[in-house]
Amino acid sequence: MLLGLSGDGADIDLDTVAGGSDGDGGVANGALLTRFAEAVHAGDDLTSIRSEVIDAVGEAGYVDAAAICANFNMMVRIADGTGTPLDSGTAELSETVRSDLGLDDLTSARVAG
Amino acid sequence: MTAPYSDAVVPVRADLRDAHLTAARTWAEPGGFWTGYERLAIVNEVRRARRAEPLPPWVAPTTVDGLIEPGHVLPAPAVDAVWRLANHPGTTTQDWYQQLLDRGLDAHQYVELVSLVATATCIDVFASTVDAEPVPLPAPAEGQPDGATAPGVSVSTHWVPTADVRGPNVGKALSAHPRAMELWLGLSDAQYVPMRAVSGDLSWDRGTIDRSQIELLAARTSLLNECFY
Repeated sequence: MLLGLSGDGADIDLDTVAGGSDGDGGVANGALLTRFAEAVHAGDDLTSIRSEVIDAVGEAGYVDAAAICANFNMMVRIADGTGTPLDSGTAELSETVRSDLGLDDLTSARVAG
Repeated sequence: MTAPYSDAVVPVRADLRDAHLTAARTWAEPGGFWTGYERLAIVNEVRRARRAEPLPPWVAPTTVDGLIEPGHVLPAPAVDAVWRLANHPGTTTQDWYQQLLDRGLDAHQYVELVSLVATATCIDVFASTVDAEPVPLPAPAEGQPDGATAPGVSVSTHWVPTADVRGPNVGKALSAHPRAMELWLGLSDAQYVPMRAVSGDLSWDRGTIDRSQIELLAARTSLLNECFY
């Protein structure tokens, strides 16, 4: 996860990633994009939120946002399907983030051997 | 083969459309451990699993009366693996994987299956976001699997066999199978961020949504799927 390293160094609120915040979390249109990711995951009718996202980031931005959601539906299946362990360097760098998001409690949690 | 996304509610950029078309063609070709016919059967089973009434993760579809037709082209552990990975990826465990091997699934068949389930899910999820029909599947190409793996494959860091390659562990996950790697990288470059920019250029974007927006969507989607990595 590169969220904390991307962008211009602004503080990004991890509550937004965790779905525990209504705010943008330091990311432009963060709340809207979070709702979009949730709607895609839930298999909801996207008609309404698609319009909102297109209004915010344009049609090309919508396609890119959709492609990211699709891509990470691929990545999670590769990582969890193959027993991919967390990289040791990443484990140290992301310790606080992982704790805040509760990642260590997930069934899929694996420590590098 | 019909061009995908001609019915989409928004225009889909050509490189993304081409990446999905290339992936569908690759699905239909013989792989290392499955024929083209079997590989398309895996993709079709992903589509069935995603459309079906959800099963609890611990219920294997082959144990449910009438759910899987007798004489399915795929062996039962493969069908069960497809459904679990398609609908409950965050619940997989090493014990579950080992049980698949104990039931006769070969580890290399499994890695290739993971690649197919992951890419098929991804492409079908995208189609749903633009209200388009799923990418049409080509006819299966003739030929037998060639059994090819990368050199120096062994079980080391992951549950599955991997090659001895550098880089993040997720980049190593499919490394035993060069074609699976190529399929994954082709999609990832078109959908996410080109590999060179993943950690090499943290401000890279396509001029639409910025990198922090990209990573927010990536992180939220991963967490919704209960992915530890």
